[in-house]
Amino acid sequence: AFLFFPSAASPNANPLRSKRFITMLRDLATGESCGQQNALAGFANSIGKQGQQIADAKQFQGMRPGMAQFAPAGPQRATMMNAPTTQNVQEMNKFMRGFQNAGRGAPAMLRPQSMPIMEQSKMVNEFQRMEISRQQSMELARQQSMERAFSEARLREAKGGASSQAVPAVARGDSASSMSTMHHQGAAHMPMQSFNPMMQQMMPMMPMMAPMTMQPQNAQRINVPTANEVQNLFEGVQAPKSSFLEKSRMAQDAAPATATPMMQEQRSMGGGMGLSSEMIEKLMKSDNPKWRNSKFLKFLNQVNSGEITFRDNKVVYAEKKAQQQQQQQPKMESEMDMGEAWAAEFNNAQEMSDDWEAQDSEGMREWKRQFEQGSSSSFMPAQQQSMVDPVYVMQKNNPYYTAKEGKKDNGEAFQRGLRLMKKGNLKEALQAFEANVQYHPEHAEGWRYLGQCHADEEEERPAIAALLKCLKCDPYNLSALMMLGVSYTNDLEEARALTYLKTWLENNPEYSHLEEVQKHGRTIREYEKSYQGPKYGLNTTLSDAVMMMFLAAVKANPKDAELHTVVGVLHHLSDNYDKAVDHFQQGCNMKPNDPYLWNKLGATYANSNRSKLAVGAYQKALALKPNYMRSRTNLAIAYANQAMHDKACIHYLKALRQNSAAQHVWGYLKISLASCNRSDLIPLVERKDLEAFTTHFKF
Amino acid sequence: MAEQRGKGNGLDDTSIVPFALPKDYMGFKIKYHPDFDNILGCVASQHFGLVGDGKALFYETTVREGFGEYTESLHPEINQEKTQDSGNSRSEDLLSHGIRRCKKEQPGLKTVSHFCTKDCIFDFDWLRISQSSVSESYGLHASFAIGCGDGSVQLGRFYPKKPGKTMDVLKVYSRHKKEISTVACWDNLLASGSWDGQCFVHNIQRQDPIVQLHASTGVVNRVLWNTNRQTSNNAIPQLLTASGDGSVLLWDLRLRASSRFDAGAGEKSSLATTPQQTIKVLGGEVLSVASNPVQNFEIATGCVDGAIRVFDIRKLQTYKNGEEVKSGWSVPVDLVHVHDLGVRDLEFQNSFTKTPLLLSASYDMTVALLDLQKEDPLLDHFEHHSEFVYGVATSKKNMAIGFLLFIVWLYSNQVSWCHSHDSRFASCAWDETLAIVDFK
Repeated sequence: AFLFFPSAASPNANPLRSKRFITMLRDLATGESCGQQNALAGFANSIGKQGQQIADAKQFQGMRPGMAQFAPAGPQRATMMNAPTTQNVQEMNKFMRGFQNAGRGAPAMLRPQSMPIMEQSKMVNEFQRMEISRQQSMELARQQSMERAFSEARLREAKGGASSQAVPAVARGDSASSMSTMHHQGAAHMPMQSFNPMMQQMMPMMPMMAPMTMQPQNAQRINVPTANEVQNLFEGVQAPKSSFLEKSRMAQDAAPATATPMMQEQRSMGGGMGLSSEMIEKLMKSDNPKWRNSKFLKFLNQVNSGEITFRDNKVVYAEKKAQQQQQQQPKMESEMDMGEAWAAEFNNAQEMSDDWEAQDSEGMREWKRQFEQGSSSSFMPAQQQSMVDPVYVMQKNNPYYTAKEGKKDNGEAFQRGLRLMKKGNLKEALQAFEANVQYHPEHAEGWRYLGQCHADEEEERPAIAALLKCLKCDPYNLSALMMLGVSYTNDLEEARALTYLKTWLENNPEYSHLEEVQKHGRTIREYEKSYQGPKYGLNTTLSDAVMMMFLAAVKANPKDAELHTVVGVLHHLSDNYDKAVDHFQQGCNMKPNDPYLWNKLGATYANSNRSKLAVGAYQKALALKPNYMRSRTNLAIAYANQAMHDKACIHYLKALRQNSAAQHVWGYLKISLASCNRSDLIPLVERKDLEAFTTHFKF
Repeated sequence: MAEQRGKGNGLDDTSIVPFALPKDYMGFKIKYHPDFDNILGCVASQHFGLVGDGKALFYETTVREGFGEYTESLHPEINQEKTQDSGNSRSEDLLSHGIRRCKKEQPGLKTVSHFCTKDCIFDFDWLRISQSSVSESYGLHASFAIGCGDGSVQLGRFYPKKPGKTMDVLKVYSRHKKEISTVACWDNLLASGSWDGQCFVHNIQRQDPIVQLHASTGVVNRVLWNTNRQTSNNAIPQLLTASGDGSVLLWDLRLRASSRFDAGAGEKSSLATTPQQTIKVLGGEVLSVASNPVQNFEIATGCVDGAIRVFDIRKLQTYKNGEEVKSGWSVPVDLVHVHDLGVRDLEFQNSFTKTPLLLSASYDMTVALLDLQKEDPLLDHFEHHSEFVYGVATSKKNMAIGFLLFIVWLYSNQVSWCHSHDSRFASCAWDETLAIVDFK
């Protein structure tokens, strides 16, 4: 029986040395391993495993004679395949516990400060599986039989009616402690510990000692049967009394002597950092090169030692954290100085800014950066911008939206919106899309079309708001990323435009794999990291890098109109109009039916003082999409630039007919009216009386 | 000369072709499209599924040509040589060359589309092609459902024909309170299991679930529609849920689901109170379950103890002291121990001609190929991965309709014909790779 004692197994036996039947045979043949120790350990393990095998074998011997041929095969194989030794199992348990504690709570130094519950449970879940697999089947069987006992006890209680909600109650309590997987093992067995020494022996096997104490008291009380009841049940449901199981039980009875100290150790340690890292080290030094090289173990080691923490769904490395902490202190100081700084700024802003540059304090730079954020002219990663992002405001009195229909709606609103958009009825399409996103707030495409409608309606801010919403639902929606890039370009927010266009390329399955793209993506990220304060050179660097990425993509696939569009936009951003025109023209050649592309071409012509050519492009766009307000406005501007103010006014008015709320178009109209000596009509503009214009202009 | 080459290309060669997943993404699940043999989907998550983003990657399997000697033999000079050596055997040689070409074909992967989420993805499943799959502008699309770490199941689709136009999220179901561990689709039913122990079945045309199943007190590790090759589309198959409390439950949703269909979505979803059958597995947590496509009463389960147990759901007697009892372990008809650690994924091969082989992926970083008909079922062990193997998949092509659609697909896309590989599987693991393996 001594074989069952953990101490009997060789301390050197590695839990992961054990290998499959085949490996073992191979080892035997080559004489590589299988020293005495190994053989001993293997034997000890096989007994544990055999119990289950025998049980299983008996089962099908009894049940299905035809399949009996499998019966001998099973146990034999099992004998050869040694499972982990008892000690190894316990080590694994220690490791597990240490690991879980690291995730859960006791030692603050181990616990990643901001690690969300979900992530902890993910980790523990994974490990629990590994861990159970290493438990000896005998113990498993016992555990399960106990579990059965409990479930029956539960059932009994449920029949009594006293606590028919017992099970859900436990589940709920459990979810509070985030360990749903553990609960069938942990919660159910916890109370038995006090009266059943055998159970006590089991305790080290139960991974969730610490969390169990966190279980809400009431949940426990409802669920847990009395001591006697459990005892009886356990005796009653004891697994089949094969000679093996009896033996194993004896061994188990003897085992507490060794097991209990370990428990105490566990308790007093309260953390087990040493143990768990020890275990990881052990695994990493294992004979199996796979374990030695396992990235997963390295990762766990890093998590355990605090090198890695989790924050906001990202992995944070310790060095960074240290840096951040360093940065935080001067920042605090600078905040104290802030009042002074503001005062100084009012007195002499120029002088102050010189001061800033003179000062080398990181905190000041940080503060300055924050200040610059407000002016939104500096480059920031997209995520940080949410503070300044516009918020989408729904229209009131939307005829397409009724709160009641929300549940029934099955994409009808969206389809209607699409139809209306196709017809050119943008306003109603907009309402339909708004209704759709109110019914289904997570419908990314719905938001995208809403954004598109707004963009077509010449309303940049709502368009951006809707597109940002779309990206929230689907962070990698390519069309939305593209449209945001364009919208921000229109809003002259270069840095953001570049960021979104970059994201678009990096997530485009056709180009994301390109080496150049990845290389420049990395450059940009490094730049973002090292970014300290606003510099003038910054945007140039960023735009250069983004441009290189796109040029590489174009080189890879010169026949993608969309790509040419983006490159055109990029050139446009950096005021390189000739090249922009080149790319837009190529795009137009490939995609002659895209009004948006024609409009872009026109706008580029117009911006490079080639208004005549611009008019042609706009007219093409308008032929393809007669109610394309943006192009209409642009056309008017092109006419105005050529001093053809009559025509300009007509097109402004046509544009306004589509969306009379566009303030800037009214502004343009005013200028054009003044320019063509029709200042008398300006009061109509003030009143925004579109109908009154019909007598003066034919539109 | 030809003979030599013939030897070099012996049929017994196993070829393992690994492909890298995006950096820092660990493969969690891999599946072939049920209708399109050449479309392979794989979901991967950052940082071992603990934190980070998820990606669903969709590939088209291609044939990489021109490998090794094979390139040489394509070379005209060598052909000339041959004709000089034995002029009459040229046609033969070409024939043998053609055969060799099949042997020597190396699989390749071309990214068709990918799909990113802001949380890890743990599982995904394909939706079968239906009438609604044909879009006016882009031709056929492939729809899929992914189960995310934030507790949402997302339905998406992509148009393999339009690589850029891929990012459609059709629907998001977020009924679960914890991570989705598994999803399974049948026709227009979508079953999802989660760490909260619940299983929801949705009709994908509606937002509210048809039914909620209390599948487990622990984690639901796998849900599976127990279909077989003969099952036609008119009968809703049984739903299997394998869970962390060591049981596999079989649910009959026919009555409930059909009444739901008629009643519409107005009412609140009701609970299916009891499972039809229960398999209690003596092996701890059940990690994976698969049903034999030919005889779908045979259910294989993979547990944390590394054993694969096969159950016959027609007779699930339990036993105690040699007598039948009502509560106890279910009796496996077969038991295979080939893995040291838990069996994470199981998949039956779907072959027309042969008895289906079983593939198992395990935490012990190996994939095993089993023939359950044999006394020693282990056919081969594949050790090409260096971390936990999380998913294994074989081509699922079956049924005439699927085949017809496949033809349509070919026609519309000019996709090169890809042989149905009975002896091919794909596996993905935490070592940031997926591999396509041709055995025997």
